[in-house]
Amino acid sequence: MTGAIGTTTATASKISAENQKYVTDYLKFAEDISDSATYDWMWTAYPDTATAYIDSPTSYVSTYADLNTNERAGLTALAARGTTGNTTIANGNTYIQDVLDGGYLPGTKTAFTTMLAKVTGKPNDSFATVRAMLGGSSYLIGDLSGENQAYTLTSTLATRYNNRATAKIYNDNYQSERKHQDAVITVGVAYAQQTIENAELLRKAGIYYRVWNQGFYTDQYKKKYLEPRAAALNRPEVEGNALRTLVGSVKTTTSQYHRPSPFSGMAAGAMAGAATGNPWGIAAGAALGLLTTQ
Amino acid sequence: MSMGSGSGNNIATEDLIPSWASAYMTEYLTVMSNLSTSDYGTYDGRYPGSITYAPQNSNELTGIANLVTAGTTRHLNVSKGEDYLRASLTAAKLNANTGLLDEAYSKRASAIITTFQEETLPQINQNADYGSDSHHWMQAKAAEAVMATLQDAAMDIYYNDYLMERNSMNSSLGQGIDYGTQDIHIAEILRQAGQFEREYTQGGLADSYNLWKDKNEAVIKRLEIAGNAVRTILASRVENTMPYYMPSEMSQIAGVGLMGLGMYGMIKGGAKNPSTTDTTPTALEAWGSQNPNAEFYKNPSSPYNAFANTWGQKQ
Repeated sequence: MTGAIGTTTATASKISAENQKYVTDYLKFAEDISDSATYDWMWTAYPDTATAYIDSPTSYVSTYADLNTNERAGLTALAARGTTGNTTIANGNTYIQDVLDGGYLPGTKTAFTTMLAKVTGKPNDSFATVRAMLGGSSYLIGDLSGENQAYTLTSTLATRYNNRATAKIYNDNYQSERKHQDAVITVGVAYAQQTIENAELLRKAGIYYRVWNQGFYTDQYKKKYLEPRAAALNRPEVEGNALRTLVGSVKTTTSQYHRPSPFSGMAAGAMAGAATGNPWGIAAGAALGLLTTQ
Repeated sequence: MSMGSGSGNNIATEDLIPSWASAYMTEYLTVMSNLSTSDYGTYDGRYPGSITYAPQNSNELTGIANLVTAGTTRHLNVSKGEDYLRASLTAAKLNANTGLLDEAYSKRASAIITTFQEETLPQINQNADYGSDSHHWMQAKAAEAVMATLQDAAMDIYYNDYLMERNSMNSSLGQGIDYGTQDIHIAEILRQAGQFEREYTQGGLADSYNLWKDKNEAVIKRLEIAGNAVRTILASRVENTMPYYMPSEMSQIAGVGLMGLGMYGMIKGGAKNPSTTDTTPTALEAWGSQNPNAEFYKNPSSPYNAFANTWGQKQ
């Protein structure tokens, strides 16, 4: 005998009946892409065995080219060069340091003494030939000594001239080597900087490799980690987007309404029937009041 | 005749496109539907070979190969230049010309001695008292001049050669760095040649991947073709369905019956004709006179009084 609570439903639809087929097809397509095994290939990782246009890549670098032979050889050569330097430049450094140390000033080096020995020795040998030609006949009247005066007079000539030549050469050598020292100063820094260049070259060789390696790691991270996870999220979103398209296409409003309870209807009818002044009128009124609530 | 509830639906329809455009709408939907269901076809290629990644031509390949060669074997100029510079800087060139130097001195000394022997000595022998003291002194002085000439010749040949080579050693320093860094350039060329090759390979891999992605995205694009069509037709027609409620036939009949019952009660209970001045007490007034203590009689403002005034009003 309690009051009746009912619901009333109002609907606003933006999809006409004749167009519903297209909407259904669209949703079905979206569902297939999201759920059907037919489209699994879209959401799996790029196959490792894919063949590139030029090379067949190794199994782990199908989207990232490996270092090839020439590049590796170049990197190896750069690294070696950066490690051991260059012999010509090393020789230059040694020479510069020797000159600046005054190694050539005193004329003690082998090449100098060898040269000096030639300058003095050769004329000596030649003069011996000349000396053998000196002297007159020993048959001069009254001269029974047999002595070769010219020969004797020239006995110290070679030594004297050698000494003069030696002294002149040593002095000239010193003057010359001092000028060489001044010349060497102008290139000393450039040669010294080659040590820095070598170190930088070694570092660059390492960086070239690291850059490539970093690219490999990044590529692996994207392909093996990020993309599969993104695919796992994107896959259901295809269907979600399709559903979002339809949000608002139909609006159904359900609201409650209240009807008078049968008891209140009976009471009202009884009151109306009481006006007849007859108990049967009250009964009839109650019955009619009940009917009004149905 | 139904005795049940009398509720129903009121459907209001709004068309947001003109009726003459409906055919176009249908045609559009048909075309979009067909497009979204058509298969993604392999690129048929406008260019020969149906390829999307251009191959390297002979010039490029030959150029790279030549770079590899240059990066693998040094040019002879460089290798010979370095050999020369290294020899110079390590003093290997000093006194290296011994054979020629000795030959040069030998010839010059021979000429000097020959001149002394064939010219100088005969003149002295002719002009001086042969064997005398002055004769010997003249010979000795002439020999001294020869010694000086021989010494000068030796210095010219051997010492000047030494000086020249020493100067050359210093000059070599000026070219040492240029030649000494050629191996860096060579290694770098080899690396770059390899990088050029790798870049081309990478492009091929990327192209393959992009083709795979295109296939992937084509499916989504097809879906969106259908989605765009759906979004176009949404709200082209709006149907509003509003329920309305009418009282049921049973309740209407019951209501009429109640009305009749009430009228009967009023007439039987002495309801006054409003157009007359009938003073006959109503049933309520009669009841009230019998029950003077009734609430609505005591309290004029009681709602019962209002009821009484309404229904039991005397006319």
